[in-house]
Amino acid sequence: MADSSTLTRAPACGRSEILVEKGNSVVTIPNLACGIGLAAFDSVTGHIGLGHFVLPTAAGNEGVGNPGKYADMGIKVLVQRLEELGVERANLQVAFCGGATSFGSQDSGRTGIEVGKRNAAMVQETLDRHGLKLIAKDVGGNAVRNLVFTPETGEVVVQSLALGQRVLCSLRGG
Amino acid sequence: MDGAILSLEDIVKKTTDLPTFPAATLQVIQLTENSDRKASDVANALAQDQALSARVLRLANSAFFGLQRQVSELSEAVVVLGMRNVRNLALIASSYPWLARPLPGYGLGPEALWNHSFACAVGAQMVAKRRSQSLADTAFTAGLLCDIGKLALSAWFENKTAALYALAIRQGLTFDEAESQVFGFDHSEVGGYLAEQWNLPASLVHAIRYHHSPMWANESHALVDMVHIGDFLAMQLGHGLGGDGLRYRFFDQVLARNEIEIGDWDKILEDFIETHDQFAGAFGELAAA
Repeated sequence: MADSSTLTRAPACGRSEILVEKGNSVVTIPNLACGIGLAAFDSVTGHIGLGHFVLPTAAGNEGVGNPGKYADMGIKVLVQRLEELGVERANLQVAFCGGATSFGSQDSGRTGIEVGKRNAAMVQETLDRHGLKLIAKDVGGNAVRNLVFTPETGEVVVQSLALGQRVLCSLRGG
Repeated sequence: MDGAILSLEDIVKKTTDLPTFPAATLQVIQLTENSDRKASDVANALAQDQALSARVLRLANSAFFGLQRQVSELSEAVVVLGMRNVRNLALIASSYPWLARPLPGYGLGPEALWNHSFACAVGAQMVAKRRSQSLADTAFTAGLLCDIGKLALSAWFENKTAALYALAIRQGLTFDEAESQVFGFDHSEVGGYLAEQWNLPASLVHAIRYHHSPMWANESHALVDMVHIGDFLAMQLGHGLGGDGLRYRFFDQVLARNEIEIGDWDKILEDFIETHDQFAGAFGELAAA
């Protein structure tokens, strides 16, 4: 089993960051706990958008701080930046993972601290609202994840120290 | 993983390369537990260790504290920053070398346990500040040390974290419950035992021992609660997590008994992100220097 330092050494999108680029380099979103790592890819232009959102909503914090922190605001900004580069929303294919929770908090009946669960729900809702095509997701559970995206193949791989790694989907599909 | 036949004492005794604190740091920790100690007592204790003193002064002069002018004497640092702040700086300087080691047993690379411990310390301190500054300063210390038991247990896992995780999933256990099932004790208990061996104050031993089980702590649970919350904050944001991930129970009753509304949680998490990034930026490279 690889340790947390050797899992991947590719260029990374950190917590609360939004990364938009074009190229063939493998990119990652590491250390996803309750946060969500999202990859959006336009196979027509080759543009990639990545985000690591740690809170569900910017409601009440609009215009303050970093939009990349919030799932709703972060996705909106991510899409805007891609569109500014000539990407057509209809061509974007999206995958996301993360939204882990601590053990036992799911059944406490107190949903306020279930940030992972709320993050995942907000990402889904925001994708729907913006008409973005979701290809696959891997959310919940208690394991920390890394998302690895390879533009050349379109493959999204989810790595977990506890559960190993698996190909989640390809963002080069039809 | 045949640790079940060994006692906790055996594990600690047979684990080679266990960390030790410089005598000066231990003395400072003990001195700062007593409110009647003078600043000069703390400065004199630190001065016994020149290398440690130099690192403490470097940390004291970091951008984080924003001092008007550089402090060059320990006695001055204690007066300007306060005894408990200087204690925490001594603790950061002393613990970094061993908290930054990789722990393959837990799937933790270099600096991962340091990152987690530091985040936990910052989170515990931030939440404790709502109650009192003195609790906040001690919460930092306890948060930084809460996972020291992993340093001893890691070698006994022999890279079998995934197997232990699988056992936990199969039996519906948290990771610390799975540790208990295999070894007869978990890393919190090992940490508490180590802290006792170092003669750390009882409140710190208690916080380390019960940080995953705050509802079992005795009536003086405030410090335990702060570390439990700090640990949860660090876990939620994925700071320095290994193969055990977030597979620990969070007792949200600790929020109620510390008058924290569950509805305020996102605001707390947001404050934690800002506080942590501010601390980590100022201390990260300095602690390693």
